[in-house]
Amino acid sequence: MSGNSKIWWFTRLLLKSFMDNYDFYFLSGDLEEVYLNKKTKNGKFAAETWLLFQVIISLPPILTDNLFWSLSMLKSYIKIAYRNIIKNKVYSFINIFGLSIGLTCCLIIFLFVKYELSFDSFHSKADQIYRINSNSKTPDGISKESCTRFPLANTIRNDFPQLEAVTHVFVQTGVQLEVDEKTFSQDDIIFADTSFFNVFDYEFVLGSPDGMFKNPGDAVLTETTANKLFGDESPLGKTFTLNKQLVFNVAGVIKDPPQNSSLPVQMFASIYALTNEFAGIDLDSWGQLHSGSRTYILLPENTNIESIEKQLPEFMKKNFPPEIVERSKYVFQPLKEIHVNTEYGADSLNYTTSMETIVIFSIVGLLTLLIASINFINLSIAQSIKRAKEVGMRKVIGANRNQLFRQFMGETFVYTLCSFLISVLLANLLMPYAGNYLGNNSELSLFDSWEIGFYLLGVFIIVNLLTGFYPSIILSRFNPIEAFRNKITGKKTGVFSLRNGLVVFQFVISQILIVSTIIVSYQLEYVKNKDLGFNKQKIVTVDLPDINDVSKFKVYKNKLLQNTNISDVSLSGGAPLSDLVVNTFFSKIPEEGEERFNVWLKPVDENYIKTFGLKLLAGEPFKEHGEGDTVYKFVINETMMKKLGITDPEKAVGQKFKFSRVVGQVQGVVKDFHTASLQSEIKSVALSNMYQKFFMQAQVKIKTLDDKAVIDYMKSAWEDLFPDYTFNFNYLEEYINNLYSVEENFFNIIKVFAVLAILIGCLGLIGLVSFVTIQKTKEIGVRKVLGASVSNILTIISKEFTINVLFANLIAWPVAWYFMNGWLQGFAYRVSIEWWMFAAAGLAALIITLITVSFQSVKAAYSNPVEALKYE
Amino acid sequence: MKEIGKGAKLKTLTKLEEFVLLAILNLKENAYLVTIQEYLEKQAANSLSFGTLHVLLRRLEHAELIKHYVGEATAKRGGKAIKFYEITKVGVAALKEIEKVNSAMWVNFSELN
Repeated sequence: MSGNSKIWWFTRLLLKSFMDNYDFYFLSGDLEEVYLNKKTKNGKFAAETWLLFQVIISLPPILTDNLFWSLSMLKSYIKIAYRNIIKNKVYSFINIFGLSIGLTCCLIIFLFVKYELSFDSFHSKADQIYRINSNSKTPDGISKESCTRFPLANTIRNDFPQLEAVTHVFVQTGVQLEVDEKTFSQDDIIFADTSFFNVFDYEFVLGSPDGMFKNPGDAVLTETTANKLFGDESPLGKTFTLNKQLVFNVAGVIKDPPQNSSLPVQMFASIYALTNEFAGIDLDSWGQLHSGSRTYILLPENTNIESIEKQLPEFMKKNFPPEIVERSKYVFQPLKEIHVNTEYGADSLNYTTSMETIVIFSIVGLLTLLIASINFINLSIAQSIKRAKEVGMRKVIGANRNQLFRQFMGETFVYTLCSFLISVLLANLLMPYAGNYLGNNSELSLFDSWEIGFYLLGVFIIVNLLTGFYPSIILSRFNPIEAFRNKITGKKTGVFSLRNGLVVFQFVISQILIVSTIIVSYQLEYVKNKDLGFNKQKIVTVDLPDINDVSKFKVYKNKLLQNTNISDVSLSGGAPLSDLVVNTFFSKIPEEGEERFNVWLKPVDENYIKTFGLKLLAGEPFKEHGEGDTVYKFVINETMMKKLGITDPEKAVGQKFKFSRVVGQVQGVVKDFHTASLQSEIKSVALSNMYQKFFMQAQVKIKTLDDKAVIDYMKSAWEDLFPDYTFNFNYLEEYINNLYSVEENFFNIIKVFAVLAILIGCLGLIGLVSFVTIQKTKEIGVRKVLGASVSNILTIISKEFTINVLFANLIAWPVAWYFMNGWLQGFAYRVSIEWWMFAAAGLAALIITLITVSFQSVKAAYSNPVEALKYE
Repeated sequence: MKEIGKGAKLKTLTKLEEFVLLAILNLKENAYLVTIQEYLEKQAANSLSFGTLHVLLRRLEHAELIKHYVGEATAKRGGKAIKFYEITKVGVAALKEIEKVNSAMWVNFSELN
């Protein structure tokens, strides 16, 4: 080559990568000949230009040719790979099986994550839609709410004319619905205004979205609801009644919307139908904040939300009094973020999944795939030692390293293709169960969209490279002479240390998962069994009908008390731990400007304290509410007492304080009980028998084991008294356990992955042990000849793995501690992380390892030394 | 046209392949990549890149229509030897076949002039 000129370096770089040495030698000679001719004739520059041009236009045909030959060689490689799979059935099975598990997990998690991230994206303008949330300062911190006051939508519409649309919806669930003589309980009703269908997209089957809801009697049903209410008849123009008051006409039917929506819906109705008589709603009043009220805006295309946000302070100043402006603030939340933001999850209409969960999931999925790939690599290399002679022979015959590399990549290709096909099928089969298990009931399938195809291809290529690259390099590197002399053991090539590193890595991950499983299960056990400060067993809650008739409730109560199997009945605004909450505030008397504290008001009757077994520390329980009672007497909990600045319950009795707008007096103090899941601290609670119009529930304590008879009795009594309303009951204990369903899910997932990681890790171990025993065949033989016992040899083989496990544990423990500590911080009441949790996990890993190791090494230890030594 | 070559991947010859074969035939002892390229450019006004020609030659050789031998190293190409090509018997047979077909197809062409 002429000199070290850059152009020649470039030529070499480009052409040599795609040609063998022999061809390149002559081709470069040819090129150089012409180059030198041109150089003498036309000068160096012209010659170099020609050369560069020549190289570049030569590349495409050479590349195409290359591909052509690779494909024809692929056929041969696939044939050899197939023969190898058949020859080593056990290895192939472990290889393909391990990788399939990892891939299946990865695919399922991918679908899960994709589903969780796909919420609300079915609206064509989803990127331009924002929900208005309100953040307001309270003494207990910032309270974040996704509900807004009724007139906000109109005000925004007037003050921000640049917005494409503003829509106000009101959501209600569990509403009584009547068609002809039949009654239904209808969930997920969205009362919407005329702009609604300008913002959101729903596919109309009957009717059209134009001018919909202008008429206060308009209603739109989903296909399922239409079917439920009207059967096969055409629902258009049919009427139904809500809550026995509002009459609606079916003006349209839409296709059932996808489930991945933050606005689940079974029926739309015009919001203009809502009146003060129905649910006490005044659409023009700023005074009410109803949890079902939501406001959405649609931004024009190519507009930045910041331009709207900038005008907010001015908007606030113009429309609200200064104390509100100071205390609260509106926030625009992108529609697609609603599902993955748990900050506003408390009054969310559909479940929310935090971004952290999604990230944890993705990491777990990738880790499983990584473990499976590492496992594959380990097994391939263990196998490769056996194939050293094949490589030697190929090299002697004339195969070059590139060809061998390609051959082994081709074999990996066959293995991964098998695993891939298996796992695609498996993932698709398991998906319905997985969706159930993961708690999101997603209906995704791998064959849903072409994007998934791209993802699959991507994963396939990555896995192929990940699993094939390293073993292929190792294999193609073998020196034929050493291969024939049985000199290849792996140690020299530095394979062993790296393999050890990979195994340690696998152990680290399994160990982290085991520790997490132990801690999470411990915490879950704790939250479920912790004394909540009230009695939750055998209590059935019954939702009272929406009628303001306390006397009728009392009749029901007395009727229930007649049953000897019912020990107590109380009427109240909700159980001690319930999502029925009346949130208000109190402050100390006398000074003005005294700090205001949040408090949960529990409207109760005289039976409440007894029914739930609340412990009265001082004062008296409630007597039956009489007509003449005018003093607002409260039984408060310890937390509230402390906020009042009192430490002794006895002294608290009789204390006066300001409660909402009235003056209240402490009648008694109860011991603190949990008011919400153990994730949150105990709140200030005030019980009172003055707020009987807020009764929402009857709580029934059952004595016998035979619940069914009692519940039947409750139902028949209900039907006598409230024939127009449906009987809804729940077990309190069930409700409380359901509070932890997210954590329960998390636990389920960790559990599964811990098992999978261990399983895959064990498969990897089997590979590694067989590798070590092959490597040590001679050593074992010599030792046995010299008198070593089987147990001696087992110890020798196991020693290394024991050290590996212990080392991996040391790495895993701090990591696991860090993550689990973070997770536990989400609970206000939690278990402490103890040393034995780590020790138990470590011991478990060690035992599993030793069992797996001995499985293989016993074979080696019992082998006849003559067999091992006769080849020398 | 009949199948050409024993281990043949090429069932029929393209015009380009035919030209390359003829070029090798005409260049006699001096047929190698550079001269073949020049010959084709001069006689057929067909300027091929080195890469294209290289691949063509490889395929023809694989189909056993031509074979190569290595010449002496010369100073004028940075001390590298030349890879010369020559036509095999199969190659000659293939050309004969083409010639036969061509003359059959062109038989009445001269009468047009």
